[in-house]
Amino acid sequence: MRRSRLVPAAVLAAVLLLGACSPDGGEELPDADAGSGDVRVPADVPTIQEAVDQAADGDVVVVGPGTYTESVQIRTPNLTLRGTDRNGVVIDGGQVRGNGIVVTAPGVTVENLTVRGHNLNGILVTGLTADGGLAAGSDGYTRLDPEEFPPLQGFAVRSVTTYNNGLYGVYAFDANDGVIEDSYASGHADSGFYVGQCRDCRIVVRGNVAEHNAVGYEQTNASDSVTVVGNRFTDNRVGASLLSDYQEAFVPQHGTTFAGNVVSDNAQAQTPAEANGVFGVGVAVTGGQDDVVARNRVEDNPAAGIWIASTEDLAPDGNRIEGNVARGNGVDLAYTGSERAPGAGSCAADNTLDTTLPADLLDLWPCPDGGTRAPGGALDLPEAPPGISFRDVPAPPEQPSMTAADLDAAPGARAPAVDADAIAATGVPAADLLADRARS
Amino acid sequence: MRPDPVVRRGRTRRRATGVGLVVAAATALGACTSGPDDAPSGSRDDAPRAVTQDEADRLAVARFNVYDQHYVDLVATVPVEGQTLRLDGTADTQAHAASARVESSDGQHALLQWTLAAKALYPVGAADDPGLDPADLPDPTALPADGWTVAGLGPDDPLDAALVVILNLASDRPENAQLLRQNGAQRVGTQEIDGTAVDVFTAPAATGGSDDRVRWFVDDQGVLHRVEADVGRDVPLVVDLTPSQATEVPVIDALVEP
Repeated sequence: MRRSRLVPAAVLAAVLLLGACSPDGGEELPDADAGSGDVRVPADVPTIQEAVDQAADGDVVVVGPGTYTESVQIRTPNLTLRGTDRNGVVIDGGQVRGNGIVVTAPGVTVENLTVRGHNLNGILVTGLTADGGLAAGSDGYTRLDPEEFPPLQGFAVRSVTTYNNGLYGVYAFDANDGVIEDSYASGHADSGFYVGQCRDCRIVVRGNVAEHNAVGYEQTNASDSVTVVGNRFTDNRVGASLLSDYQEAFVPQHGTTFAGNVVSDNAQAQTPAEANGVFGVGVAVTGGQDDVVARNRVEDNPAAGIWIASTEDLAPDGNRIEGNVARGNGVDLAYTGSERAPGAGSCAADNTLDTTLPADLLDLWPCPDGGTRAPGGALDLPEAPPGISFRDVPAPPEQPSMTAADLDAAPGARAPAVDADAIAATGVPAADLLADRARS
Repeated sequence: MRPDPVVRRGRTRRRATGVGLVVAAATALGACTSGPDDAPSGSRDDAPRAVTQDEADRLAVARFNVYDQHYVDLVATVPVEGQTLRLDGTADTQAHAASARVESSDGQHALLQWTLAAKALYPVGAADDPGLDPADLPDPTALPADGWTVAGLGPDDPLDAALVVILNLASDRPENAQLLRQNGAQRVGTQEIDGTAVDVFTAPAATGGSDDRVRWFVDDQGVLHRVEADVGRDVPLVVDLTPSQATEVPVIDALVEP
């Protein structure tokens, strides 16, 4: 329980209630963990793809230490792809291949390995499939047709290290009922972790570290039941972004719980540029509705700590900002609802903060009723420093491998039960939450 | 002032970057009419066809690789009114600045520096002129401090349009390979450039289908070696790129100061 010594008791209690596994450093997982129908790489077959293609529904592919220069397509349901050593099992894109691992089957787990050096994504999980693989003939990124491409059901990305990939580290869209946990992402030109385009998503994002990305965590049009808890999103250009975007299915984004995270110091210049030139922001909710931003530690983000904004004609309605410690930011809590789409019904209570925009925002946003429909203030953004190539972000520190006990405790390729009361009882995490996994 | 406060999405940008390969060139060439009616470059045996996934992946990263190289040496053939200019120089693809020796088809030489906003021209004279040796570029100590003519870049000037195209060849992140495939990118041939085999691609047009006016010469590692664009004149705009040993591209103060 190495992590338990580093996490405040309140957070620990919540994490335990949420059933998180507890990674430990170092040891390789024994092959004995694999069952009789399982496939070993490189002992049985030389490449991960061959192993994955041989495996049947429910099998485990166990990958030993080595650098694998392949792009892996997983089309078999309920398959587990497991590295024996998180730091030693590396899928390397060689700055040539697009995606590291593409999952287009339900119930797949990817765990305990590293994915780096791809031009697009580290791990892509999506229901946008054709012939069992990634669909190419549809306009899915921009106009996903949920009838034609129903969401993939069930996934887990667990204890995975992903770095220096061109777009996203872990990218899940058109996928429901999954978990991204205990993973690490740095050096991504879009975001470290991404969840998008789902309704009734049932997705849990917990215990992850994202640093030195353009954006640490991003969530677009993913709604109803996304829980982002106990993560560390620090030293990016933007820590976390919840947003609505008309160019994807399921506008607007709504109903996310973003709680108990550390979202600080997001002003790292040695990162790829954020696509719209934003820099120095902690948590942004842009056109998101009925989101709860609670008991996070949001400090020292030079533009804004917690920022609620409109986008196009989408008003940021009904968001609750509660119990956060937000200090030392350019503005600790900013509301910039536009004239075109002024927000209503958002409230702020029990936060520890010094500055708001507008200055009287706390008076305007009482809980539980929330503010009346009105535009907000204008935020003066600092000039962003030039970005760097995603390939030039230094490699991360070694990350803790899973143990056999972790495997036993893992909840499988589905969203773990999340106890809302436990989250509500969680205190603000200490500044050093998961800091032992971060480079700074 | 940014129109949208935050992180208006990758999708928005990717929607654009899906056709970014053509936008980068065509917007600057917007004034041009249809190009010469010759066949695309490359082997005649290679009929145009949709790109494979591997080809889309390489095309998607070609412009990023120019950014990643940071400094590139370039040789460009730029058709302008009545003649052709040859540019031989170096670009900083991240800071958007470049410096080149210019030789016109009638034998005149000049030094040229430019950014996305302005250019500075220093006439050196004819090839046999005893003035400053343009081959010294881009050594900053060789740059004369005075005597430059600075002008803003105009959208209707064919040289200016080409200068903008050159500085916009790099992109700070890869494109979306899926969108390139589904929106009409094609492989239209193969060729060899300085001993390296390259595929010749066209990218999706902003209006749909493939834009035959701009051709991208990309090797098996996704490295962009050449861009060729029909600009409505007798010869195309051709830009050859190679990684540079340069560590800076000095430009005069008048170009960097507002």
